[in-house]
Amino acid sequence: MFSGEVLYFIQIWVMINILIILGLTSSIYIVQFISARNKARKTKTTDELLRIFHASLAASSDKKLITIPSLSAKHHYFDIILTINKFEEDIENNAVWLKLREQLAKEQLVATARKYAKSRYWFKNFQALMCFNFYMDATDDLLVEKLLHSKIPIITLHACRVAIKYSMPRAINTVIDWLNETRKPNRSLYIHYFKSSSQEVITLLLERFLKEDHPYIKVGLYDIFANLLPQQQLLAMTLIDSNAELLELKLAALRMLSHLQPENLGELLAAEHQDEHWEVRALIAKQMGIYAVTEKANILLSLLKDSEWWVRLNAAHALLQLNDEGKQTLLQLNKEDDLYAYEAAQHALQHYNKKLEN
Amino acid sequence: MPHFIVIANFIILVYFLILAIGYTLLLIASFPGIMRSNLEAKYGHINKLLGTIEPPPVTIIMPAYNEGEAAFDAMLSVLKNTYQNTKLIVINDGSTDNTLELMIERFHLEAIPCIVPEKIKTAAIKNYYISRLYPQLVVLDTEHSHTGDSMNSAINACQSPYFASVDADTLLEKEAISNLMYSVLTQPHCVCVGGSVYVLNDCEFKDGEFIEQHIPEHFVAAIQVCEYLRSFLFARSGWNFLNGSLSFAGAFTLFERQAALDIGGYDLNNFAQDAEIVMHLHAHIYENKLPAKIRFTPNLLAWTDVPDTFGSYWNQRNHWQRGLLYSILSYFRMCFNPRYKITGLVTYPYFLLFEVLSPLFEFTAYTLLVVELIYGYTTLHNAALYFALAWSFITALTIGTFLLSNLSFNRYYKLQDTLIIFLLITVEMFGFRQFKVVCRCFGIGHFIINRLLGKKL
Repeated sequence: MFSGEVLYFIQIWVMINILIILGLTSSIYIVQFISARNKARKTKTTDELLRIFHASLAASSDKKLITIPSLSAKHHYFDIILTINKFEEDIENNAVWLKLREQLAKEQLVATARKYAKSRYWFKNFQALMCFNFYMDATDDLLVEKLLHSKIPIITLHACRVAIKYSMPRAINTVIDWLNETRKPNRSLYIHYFKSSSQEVITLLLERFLKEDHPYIKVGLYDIFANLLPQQQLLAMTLIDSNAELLELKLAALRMLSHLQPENLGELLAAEHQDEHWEVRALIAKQMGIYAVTEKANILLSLLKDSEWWVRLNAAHALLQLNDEGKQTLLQLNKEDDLYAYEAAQHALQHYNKKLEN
Repeated sequence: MPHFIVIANFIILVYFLILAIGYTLLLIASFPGIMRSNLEAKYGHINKLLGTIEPPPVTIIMPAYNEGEAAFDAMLSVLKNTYQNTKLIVINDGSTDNTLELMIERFHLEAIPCIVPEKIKTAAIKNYYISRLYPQLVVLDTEHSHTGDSMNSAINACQSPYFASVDADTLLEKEAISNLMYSVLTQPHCVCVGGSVYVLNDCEFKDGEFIEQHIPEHFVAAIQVCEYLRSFLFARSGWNFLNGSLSFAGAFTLFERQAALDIGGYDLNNFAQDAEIVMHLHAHIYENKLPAKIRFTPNLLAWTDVPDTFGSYWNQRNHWQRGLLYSILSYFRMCFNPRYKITGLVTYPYFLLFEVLSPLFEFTAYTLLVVELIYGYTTLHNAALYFALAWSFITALTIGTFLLSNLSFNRYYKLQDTLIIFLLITVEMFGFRQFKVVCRCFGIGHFIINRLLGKKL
C-alpha cells in the first residue's frame, strides 16, 4: 500500500503516540496528588488571615487602633482582599473594622493597587478597584477614570461604583452620558449604583439634570432619582417634561411626579388621563391607585371603559386600592352595560380575593 | 494495486496528518485559556467576584414538550442557582400530555394577562403563568410548533439583557449562571458564551441539586463521557484562540438578547438550531463589522442526559449530523471569504472539512483498508499498523484532554472513575468509533436524499 519510508514514518508516529500516552497518564496521577495538597494549603492561608483580622479587631477600639502586621510579604495580594470581604460577611458594618480596613489598605495595599491599575490584564485592574473601594486619595481619581473606560464590563462597573462612592464629578458625568447608549445591557446597573449616592453625588446629579437637554439622558436621570429620596428641586422641570412629546420622557416624568407627590398630584395625573398613548393612560390609572388619589375616582371609572385592556385592568386594580367604595363600584358593574369593563373588573376582583386568601 | 486506491490512500494519509496537526494545535491553543480560566475561577471566587457588583439580570429559557415531571429537576436546578438575578421562562410547547397541569400543581402557577411584544414572529402564546412558589418562574403555554419557535417566544418575553437556553433534560451546576456571566463580564462585548456540558446519566441528584457524579453504567452512555470531555474541554476552548467555535451545545449557552433579536432569533427550519444561531451570530458580527465576540468557557456548567442505547444514539447523531450540515451549508458564503477574517479563512473551512465531513473520510479509510486486505494489496501487519496509528492518536488526544481536565475543572477525581475513563478511552476505537462513523455517514446520506427529494430537513 505505502512504501517502506511511509510505513517507517507511521511506526515512529505510533511509538511517539504511545510514549505521549504513557507520559500523560502518569501526569494525570501527579496532578491529582498535587491539587489535593494545594487545596489544603489555600484553606490554611485564608484561616490564618481571618485569625489576624479577628485578633486586630479585638485589640482595637474607637480611640486606639492597633497596626495590622505586615501581610503582603507573606500572602498573596488578592487573598488579602478576598479574605477582607469574607471577614466582613461575619462582622457587618463594624465602625472600628472600617477604620482598620482603611489603615490596612492605605499602608499595605494601595501601592500595589496603583501598579495594578495600570496593568493591561483585567484581573489586576479588578484587584486595584477592590482596594480603591476600601481606600483611595485624590491622586487616584485619574486611575479610576481610566479604568472606567475599560472595555471589560466588570472593570467598568466596578470603577463606576468606586466613582460614585468617592463622588468623582468627571467620572460620574461620564457614566450619565452612557445612559444614552443605544445598546445598554448594563444601563440598569449604572442606575442601580446611584442608589447609594451621597449628598455630594445627589448635588452633582441635580446640577446635571437641570442643565441637561438630551431626552434619553433625562430619562436615565429620572430613573436614578426614582431610587433616591424625593428631590423637590426637580418639580419644575418634571412638570415641563410631563408634557414632552417623547413617550419615554413623558412616562418617566409622570412617574417622577408621583414620586415627588406635589399637593396637586391628583389634578396633574387627571390632566393626562385622555392622552393619545395608552401607556400614559395605563400609568395614570396605576399611579392613582398607588398614591390613593381618592378625589379622582370618577377618572378611574372612565379609564375602566378605555379601549385598551391594560388601562382597564390598571383602573380596576386602582379602584380596589382606593377604598371600599371602589370595590363596590366594581361589584356593581353589569355584563350587559360594558362587557370589557366587566371582564377587567372581574379579573381584578379575582386577583384581589386570591391575595386576601393567601 | 489500482492507481485510484494509491491516490485515495495518500489523500487519506494527508487528511489524517492535517487533522492530527489541527487537533494537536487546538489542544495546545486551549491550554493557556483553560489554565487562566481555571486560575481565575479558583483564585477569584467567581461568586464573590460577581457579588461585589449588582449582577446583570439573566433569563433562562427552557422549552418543554411532553416532558411530564422530567423537567422539574432542570427547572429546580435553575431556580436554586446561586446567581442572584435570574428569571426562568419555561415554554410548554403545546404538550399533549399533562405536563402543563403537573407544572401548575407543582409550582403553584397562576395565569395572568400579559402582552408579550412579538419582536420575532412566533406561534400564538395561549397563556402566561407566574409561579406563586417561585417568583422568578414564568411559564408560557404556546401552540405546538418548532423548538426554535418556542425559544423565540421566550426571547420575546424575556426582559433582561442576557438570556441562556437550557434543555429540559439538563441539570445546571449551582454556580453555572455565575460562571457564564463571569465570562461575559470579563471580556470585551461578548454576545454569546457556551459552556462545558458533562454526562448526567446515573449521577445522583435530588430536587434539581447535584449530589454526586458517577460514570454511567451503560457502555453507550459511559463512552460519551470521553466524547463530551474531548468535544467541550479542548475543541471548543481551542477555537477561542481563533475568534470562537462555530457551534455550542444547546444544553446551555448564553446570548445577549439584543444580538439574538438582531438576527431574528432561532432558525425554524433547522433542528440543530443551537448550532445554527452561533454560526448566524458569527456571520452577523463580520457582516456588520460589530466589535463583538463569541466565546466558550471551559468551566463545567451543566450535566445532560445522553442516549444510553445504540438505537437512541444513532437517532440523536443522525439528527445532529443533518442539522449541522444544514447549518454549515447555510453559511457557505463564509468559506475562504476574507470578509469573515480568521473565521472565514480558517475556522469555517476546518470545521466543514474536519468536523462535519470527517466521517466520510474516516468511513472511506476503513473501507479501503478492508478492500486492500481482501484483495491482498496490504498485509495484516500493515493494516494493524494503520489501526494502531489511529488508536494511539485518538487515545493520546483524549488522555491529553483528561489531563487538561485534571489540571482545571475536573469532576472525575475518584480513582475508580479515573480508571474507568482510561479503560473507555482505550476501547473507544474498537468498534464504537466505527459505529459512530457509520451513523454520521448515514446522517449525511439522509440529508442529501431529503434535499434531492425536496423534503424538509
